[in-house]
Amino acid sequence: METIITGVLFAIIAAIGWGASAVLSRLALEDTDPRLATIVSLFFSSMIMFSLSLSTQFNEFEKLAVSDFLWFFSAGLTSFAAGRLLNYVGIKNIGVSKASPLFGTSPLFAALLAIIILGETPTIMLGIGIILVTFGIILITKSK
Amino acid sequence: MNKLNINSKKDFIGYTSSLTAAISYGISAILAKIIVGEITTPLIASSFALLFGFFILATIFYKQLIDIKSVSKKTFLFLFLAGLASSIGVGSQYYAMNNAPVILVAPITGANALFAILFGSIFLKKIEKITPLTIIGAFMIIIGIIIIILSRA
Repeated sequence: METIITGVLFAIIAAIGWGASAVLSRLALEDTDPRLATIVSLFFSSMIMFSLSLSTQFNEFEKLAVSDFLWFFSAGLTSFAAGRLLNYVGIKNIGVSKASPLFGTSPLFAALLAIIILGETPTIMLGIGIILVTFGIILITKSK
Repeated sequence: MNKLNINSKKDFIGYTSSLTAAISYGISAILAKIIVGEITTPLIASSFALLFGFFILATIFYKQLIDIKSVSKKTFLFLFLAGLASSIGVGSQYYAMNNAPVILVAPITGANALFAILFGSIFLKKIEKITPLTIIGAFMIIIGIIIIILSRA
C-alpha cells in the first residue's frame, strides 16, 4: 500500500513537472525564437537527465551496443527534435492553455500507430476515447 | 481585417504545430516501447534521445545559435527551469510506474495539461486569456486520453 501511495505521489509530481515546464517555456518564448529556445532547452534537459542516469544507473551504460544508438537517434528525432520544437511553436502561437491539451493527445496517435504497426486490436473504449478527444480539439479550436 | 488574417494564420500555425507535435510524440512512444522493452532503461534512453535531439536541431538551425548572445539571462533561467521541470516529469513518471499500477498512474500523469492551465492562469495572466471553452475542451481531451491509455493498459 505504501509503495502505491509513493507511486501516486510521483505521478502527481510528474504531472506538475510537465505543467510547470509548459508555463516556463511560454515565459521563455516571449522574447526568443522557438528554434533557439528548443536547442537551449534540450541542452539543459540532456545535461540534467545524463547527470541523473549516470548517478543512478551507471552499470547499464556498459550494456549498450553501437546499434542501439540508431534507436536513440530515431527517438531523439521524433520525440525531441520534432516534438519539442513543434510544441514550442504551438505554445508561442496559441498559448499554453490551448497548446498543452492538444499536445497531450499524443497517446491517441500512439494507440492508432500501435494498431497499424504493432497489430494491436482496436476496442470500443478506444473509439469512445477518440470521440471525446476529437470534440475536445474542436472546442479548443473554436474558443476565441 | 488584416489583423484578423494575421491572427488566423498564427492560430493555424499554432494548432497545426501542436497536433503535429502530438503525432511526433505518438511515433516516439512506439519507439520507446521497443527501446525500453529490448534495449535499456527509460532514463538512459531519454538521456541519449535528448542529446541526439539537441545535436539534430543544433546542426539544422546552427545559424540561430549566432543569436544566442541576444538571449537574456532571465530567458536562460526560464529555459533551464523548463528543462528541469520536464526532466523531473520524466523521472517521476518512471518511478511512479515502478511503484503503482498504470490504472492509477496514467489518469494522473495524463492530466498534466490541467496543471499547465492552472499555472498559466496564475503566472500568465498578462500574456494569455483562458476561456471556459478551452477548459471544457481540455477536460474532454484529458478524459478521452485517460480512457485510451487505460483501454490499452
